[in-house]
Amino acid sequence: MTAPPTFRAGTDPAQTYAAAAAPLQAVEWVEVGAGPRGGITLRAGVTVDPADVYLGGHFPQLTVYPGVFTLETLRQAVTAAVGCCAGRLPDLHRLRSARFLAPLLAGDTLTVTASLGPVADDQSFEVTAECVRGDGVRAATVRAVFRWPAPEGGV
Amino acid sequence: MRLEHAELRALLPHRYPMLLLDRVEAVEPGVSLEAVKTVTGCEPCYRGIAEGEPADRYAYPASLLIESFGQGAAVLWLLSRRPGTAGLPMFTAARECVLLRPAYPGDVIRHRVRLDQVVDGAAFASGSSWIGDDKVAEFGSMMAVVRPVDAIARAS
Repeated sequence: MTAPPTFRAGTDPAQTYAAAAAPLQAVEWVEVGAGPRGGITLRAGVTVDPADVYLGGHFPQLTVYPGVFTLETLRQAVTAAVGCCAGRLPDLHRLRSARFLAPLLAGDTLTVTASLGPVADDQSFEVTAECVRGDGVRAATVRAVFRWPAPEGGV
Repeated sequence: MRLEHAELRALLPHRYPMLLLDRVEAVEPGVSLEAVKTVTGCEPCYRGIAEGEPADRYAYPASLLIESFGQGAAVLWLLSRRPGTAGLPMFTAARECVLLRPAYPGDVIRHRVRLDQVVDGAAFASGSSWIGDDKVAEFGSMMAVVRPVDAIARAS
């Protein structure tokens, strides 16, 4: 079994977007800090761009940043913060709970504050996040498990 | 009952590339539904991948898989609502959803959706997603509401 990795920071959000399939570049900036017990904390942000091709379809009459795109913002922020393990990117494995509390429309900013980790033996880690709109309104809360998938044939 | 893509467009306000269902193959309105989404390499989610990335980077985004399942739940619910209750379906909460393995271009994802209850204008659905005989996702509970467009705009 591969030893549990430690977190490492430093990936650029644009590189994160280009590293895997994604509906949009859902993070413009990421800041990473140390957390308790070997975990980390992160802050990340994005502005809702109505010119984005996916947002044009959600919805034609009113641009609404979908709740699942808030999850995408969190995924890209986590990926940018923790990087690869054995060449694999982390991905959302279990959504324990998510609440989408207020809409995000064209021009709104979304700021995610999250705590990650520590990393378990199965290369998974817990993520707890709060998402706040530019006017200070809480837009979403998320508790999830991310993990680095094992390579094909691995454990 | 089977719903072709044109009928899905009539029911859902989502449009390309966010209309993430191709067809509903069976539905018992208000009870259960089976819907199909085919993943293709020409979807815009693949446009930004840098050249030379390995095969695993072409995994269909979990965010879009969840949205696709949620649209199946929305169709199931909207079919049983009274006519004239127009608005946009909004995903408001989820609990215990598990992504078991990724989908890739060429995969046909089959969503099996149950409408568990409708309370005070909020719908709760659950179910699973399959590729062939492999379960790729489980959805413990997903909740949605329908909000008028002007109410959403006022809330921002």
